[in-house]
Amino acid sequence: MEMDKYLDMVSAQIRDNRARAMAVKELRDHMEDQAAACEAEGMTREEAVREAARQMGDPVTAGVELDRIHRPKMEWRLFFWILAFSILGLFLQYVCFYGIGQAGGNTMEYFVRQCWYTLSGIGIMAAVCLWDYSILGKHPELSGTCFLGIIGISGVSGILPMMNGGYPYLKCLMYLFVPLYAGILYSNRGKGYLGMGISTVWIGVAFGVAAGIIGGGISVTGDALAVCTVMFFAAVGGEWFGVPRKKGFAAAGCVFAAAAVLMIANLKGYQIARLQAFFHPEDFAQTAGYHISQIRKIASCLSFNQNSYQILEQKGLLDFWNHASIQNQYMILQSAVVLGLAKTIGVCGLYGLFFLYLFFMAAREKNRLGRMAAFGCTLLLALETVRNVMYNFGLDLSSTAGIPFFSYGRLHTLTVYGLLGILLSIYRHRNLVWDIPAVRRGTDGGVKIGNYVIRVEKDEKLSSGTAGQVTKV
Amino acid sequence: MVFDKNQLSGNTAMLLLQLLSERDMYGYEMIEVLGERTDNVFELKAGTLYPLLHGLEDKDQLLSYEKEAGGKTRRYYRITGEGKKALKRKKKEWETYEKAVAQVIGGEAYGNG
Repeated sequence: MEMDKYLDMVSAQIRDNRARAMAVKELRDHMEDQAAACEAEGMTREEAVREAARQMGDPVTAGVELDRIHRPKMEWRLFFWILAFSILGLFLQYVCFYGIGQAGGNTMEYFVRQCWYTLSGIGIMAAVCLWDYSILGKHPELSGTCFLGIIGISGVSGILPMMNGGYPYLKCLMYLFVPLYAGILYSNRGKGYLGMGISTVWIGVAFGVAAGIIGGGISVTGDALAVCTVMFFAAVGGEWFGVPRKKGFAAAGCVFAAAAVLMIANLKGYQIARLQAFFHPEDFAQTAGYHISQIRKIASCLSFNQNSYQILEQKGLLDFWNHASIQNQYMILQSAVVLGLAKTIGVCGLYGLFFLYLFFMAAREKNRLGRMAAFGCTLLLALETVRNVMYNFGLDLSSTAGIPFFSYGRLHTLTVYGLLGILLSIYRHRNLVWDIPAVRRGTDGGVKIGNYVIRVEKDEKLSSGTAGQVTKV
Repeated sequence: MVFDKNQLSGNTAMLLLQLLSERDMYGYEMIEVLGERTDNVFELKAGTLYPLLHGLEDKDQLLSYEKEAGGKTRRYYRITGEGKKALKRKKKEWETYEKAVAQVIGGEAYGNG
């Protein structure tokens, strides 16, 4: 009675349900220990519980203090970083395309649209940030099925307009598979090789849906699934599945190596042509290597700290370059053409700092689901950015969906802010979401926790009771 | 002996960090060990202990995890690298404070000469 009264008073002060449950459990355990010690000294149960409650101190003060610690805390520093980058991105777009830059065909209408996309993205980010990300780990299979199912149905039903035999404009949606995959990995903890198999199959299914339905922009899917693969290996390395690290790496390595060989063996003709053009663009200067050879020529004649339009004109490259569709695809190169190489390197350096900060934040995250999802989202954004910069200078074969904050496009902008919203949600709830220990179904219907299998069986001798059994395995 | 409450709470974090720098412990165990090692001079209340532990965890000086002990799943606390740095800093502050107090109340033996 005394114990319940004390705990009720503490819990009445704590607003968050999960924090309340966690604190009450910890305090109850403490009171039980204290009461047991008092009973061992000769007190009756009632006296022992009363004494334990007395020794706990003031329940209201404790509850208020716990409530202060365990409530959502906005990661304002990250939020302001994102806002600063959003403003910088829009400013650079204005300068490079509508101000100093000569963007063939680009009108201010595009810039106004991008401003609206950015504002909508920030709105989405704020909404996602308020949402509790831990739901990712609760129904991941259902969420994953719905996500891939919606993409599949959208394609099959003919609701959406088709482009080049697919729906390449949906490619950015594959970004969102990464946080979902963190939930899938989290829910497969402790399931051994079966969990590893299920997690691997999800990557295969996602690839199948993306390749079969979305069609174009497969390199974006490739980036998302490469990140999922890194996450999977991180989970194997962290022994999430309960499989020893070396055995896990060996098994996963074999499966992924076989998949890679299979993919290389099934490369399509145009993909092989692109590969050849990448390594020998001069041999394919008028066909598959035309873009890459022109881009490399432009990149090689950039001025370090001045506008390079005059040089491009002298070298006969301006006709190729001065088209909105080309410049939108090569935003960083356009920045280097307009502002000079030095300022563009400075912008890339800022991106580098931003991603270092994001990785640092992900490493600090205590909850494993949060850490995995944050790591995946950050890695995906960083990978797309690095590849985009490389692509802009003719150093990468395939294009990306864009560079965060700087690329023009509705779906890309919204999905990037969606991922950033997930990151903010993870850091906002860092004091409210705790790891749930991995539970593994053992043999004979038991539940495996660590080295133990706990099995509850009905005792035939005690018609109304049950007897528990703990077996070390 | 009755101590000033503020004076004690200011240094309780240091004592907890010191205990956890020796081994991982759960809350009740910390109160027990602290009582034993100070001949019950420090009788820390659980209502003070847990907010303090959760606060230190919030500052990344501790991390907690669940572990089976004595037939119960308990929340254990472990000191982090950040916690070890904080402990070192707090010990230094304490030594300075102790020396200053001793110089005032300790007479000639603690004098500047």
